[in-house]
Amino acid sequence: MDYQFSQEQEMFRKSVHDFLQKECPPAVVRDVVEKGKDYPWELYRKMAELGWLQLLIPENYGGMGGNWVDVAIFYEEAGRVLLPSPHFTSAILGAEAILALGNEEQKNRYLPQIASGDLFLTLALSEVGATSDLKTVTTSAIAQNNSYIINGTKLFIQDGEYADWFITAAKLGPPDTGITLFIINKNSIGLRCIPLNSLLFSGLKLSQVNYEGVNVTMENILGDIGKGESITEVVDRARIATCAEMVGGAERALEMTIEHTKQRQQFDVSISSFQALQHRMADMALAIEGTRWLIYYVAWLQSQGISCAMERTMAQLQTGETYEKVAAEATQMHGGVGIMREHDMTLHYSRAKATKVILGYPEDIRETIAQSLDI
Amino acid sequence: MDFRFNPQEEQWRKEVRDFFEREVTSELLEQLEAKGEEHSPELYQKLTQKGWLGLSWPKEYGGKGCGIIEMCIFYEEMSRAQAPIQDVYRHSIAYFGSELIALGTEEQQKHFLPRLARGEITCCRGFTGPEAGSDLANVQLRAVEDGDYYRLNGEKTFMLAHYTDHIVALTRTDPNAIPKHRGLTMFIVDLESPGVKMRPMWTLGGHKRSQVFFDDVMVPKGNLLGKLNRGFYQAMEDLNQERSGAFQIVLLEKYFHNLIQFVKKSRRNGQPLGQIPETRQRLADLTTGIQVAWLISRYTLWRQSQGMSTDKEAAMTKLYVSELSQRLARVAMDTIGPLSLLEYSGQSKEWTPLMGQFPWLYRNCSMETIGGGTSEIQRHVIAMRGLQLPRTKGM
Repeated sequence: MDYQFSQEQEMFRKSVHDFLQKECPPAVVRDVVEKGKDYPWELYRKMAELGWLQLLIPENYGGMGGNWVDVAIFYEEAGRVLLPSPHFTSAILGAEAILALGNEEQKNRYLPQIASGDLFLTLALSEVGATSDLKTVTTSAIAQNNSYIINGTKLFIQDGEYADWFITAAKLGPPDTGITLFIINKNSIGLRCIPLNSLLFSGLKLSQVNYEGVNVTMENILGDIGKGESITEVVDRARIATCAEMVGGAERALEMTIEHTKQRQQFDVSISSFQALQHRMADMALAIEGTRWLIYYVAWLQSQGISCAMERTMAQLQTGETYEKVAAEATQMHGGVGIMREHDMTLHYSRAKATKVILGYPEDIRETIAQSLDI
Repeated sequence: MDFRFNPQEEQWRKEVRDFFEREVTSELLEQLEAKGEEHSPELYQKLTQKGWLGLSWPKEYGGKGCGIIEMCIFYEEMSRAQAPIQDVYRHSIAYFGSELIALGTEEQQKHFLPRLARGEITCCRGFTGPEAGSDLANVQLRAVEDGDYYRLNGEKTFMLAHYTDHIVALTRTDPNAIPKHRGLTMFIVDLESPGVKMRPMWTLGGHKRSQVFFDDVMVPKGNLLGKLNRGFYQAMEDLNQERSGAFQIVLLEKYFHNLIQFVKKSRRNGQPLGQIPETRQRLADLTTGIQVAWLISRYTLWRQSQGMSTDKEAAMTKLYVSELSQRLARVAMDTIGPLSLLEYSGQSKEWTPLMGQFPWLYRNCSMETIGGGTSEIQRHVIAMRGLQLPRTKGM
């Protein structure tokens, strides 16, 4: 039994922490989140130079061959500073999708460029009526002369406005059936990506992607034809990064609350001496501690190649509840200043809800866990 | 990072599990139940032969020198088998034994330790009183010097004294001490002493606890444990007691498993219970809770095994596990419905599912957020030691 991070992991954490403290102060976050500015690309380039876009990419594809524990460490630190970046969509989700489902040629084509930061991939799976079950996707792919014609509308596509390639799920037309994945270039004729306005202050950049007779060649099919649902396993694995990001955010929200209540005086004393607040802060700390270990447990299981579908789903449930609760309590304990837009607590308040919703419907998550109870 | 036990630890677990599986028979438990008892002196004696009375003591004191992880495994397996000796073991061997080793005189050690190891004597902890719960420093059981003795007058409550022959009584030796923490002293008291009277106090969960009255009880000065007026501080030292609470999670897991079995084979209004969405949702929450409980508990255990502080972690574990146990009991009864109201006795037996485990758990778990430090005290500890928040006035 060893709950200690290795020396390399501690060093990695420290370098991520120090870098983000320096390069990602609240002002940088606010530029993106509040003013709707572009992602800080300079920061992204620096992360690429440090090799942090390669955490999941094996050495033979130009990566560093890290593992999920490293990913969790990186994201816990990223969550603390609310790092505004398409890192997740491209370097985690996109990379993992290509790695898990791509053929050798696709891996060689995309992975080194993801690692260098020269290329962005995002997943375009969900639609207005199909957010958690790929089987209900209505975007169609009709075979025609050695290629496919794609028609449909995708919604909630993370960082779509920056993507060079969209990994798109579409339903094959007759005679074939089933969901198939296509890697589609942003410049394809008939493809249009339109940014959407998401929950204020959440920092989430969602898009709509329209496909009107987009032509895709066979070589751009990802994985087996008709077996596109295997992408859900990829998404599920990748979500441990989101969970780690969320718990990092929760940790920071609690720290800010402790700092605030210690400094804030009412009734001639520091309000941090009130048990009505202390006990709630204790509950927040407890929720974070349990969630954090659940996340690292799952990350460790994934890095060991031990199957952990149930634990992973538990981590999603636990993390969503924790960040949401901690952010709401932290906001409450900040009083009036905490709900002013100039206060950073508002960023956590919105971010917590947005990431929780992105993780999936709580009922679905619980149902998935219940299924593994075999009742 | 590694979340597993090593092979030696697994081997030790197997040895302990095999022993208790063999020795804790359903006949043994039924016999005790019929007598209204919860401690089996016969089973306790069998631990002597294994050399397990004193597992955690250093070898030079006749122990086996087991570390925290091995002790945790031992408690887990005792708990899994629901061995009817756990409280007496913990109080006599883990608490009293460790206190003797840390604080006792050579004479006390020579007298008590071998007898404890042979199972000839048992001893309960005697800290709490009617006036001293969360505020332990408020102990009022009075001890006054009288020649070669101390004369004890007063009362202790919620004790395990019906199952032991000795008690380590925390007494007030200096009524004028400021702060009051500095006026308490520990004494080893033979419960057969003249002037000791006991009355059972039954918990809602069916545990027999004792109200112990001290009426001019004369305790030899040689039985003072530790230092005069340092009793409160001695009581606060945990003396390397295993703090992971894992033995409780083992049981929760077992109850949860039983609940799942019930759900699988039951119907409600014609529909299989396991297909009711709300039920499935609540069970998903519970199983997630149990997973979280294990991780917090193991983290506490690991820290303790590394000699790191565990004040915050142990408080978190205690708080989480005790509240989880209440959550489990409530959800289980909701899920089972009216059948969960039937206690396992008389005509009810014909209907009672799972031998009345859940009405019992519901009654019994009320104790868990109170005994061993209330949930409020755990939150206080997390706030003070974990988050370094300032003290509330009066605390």
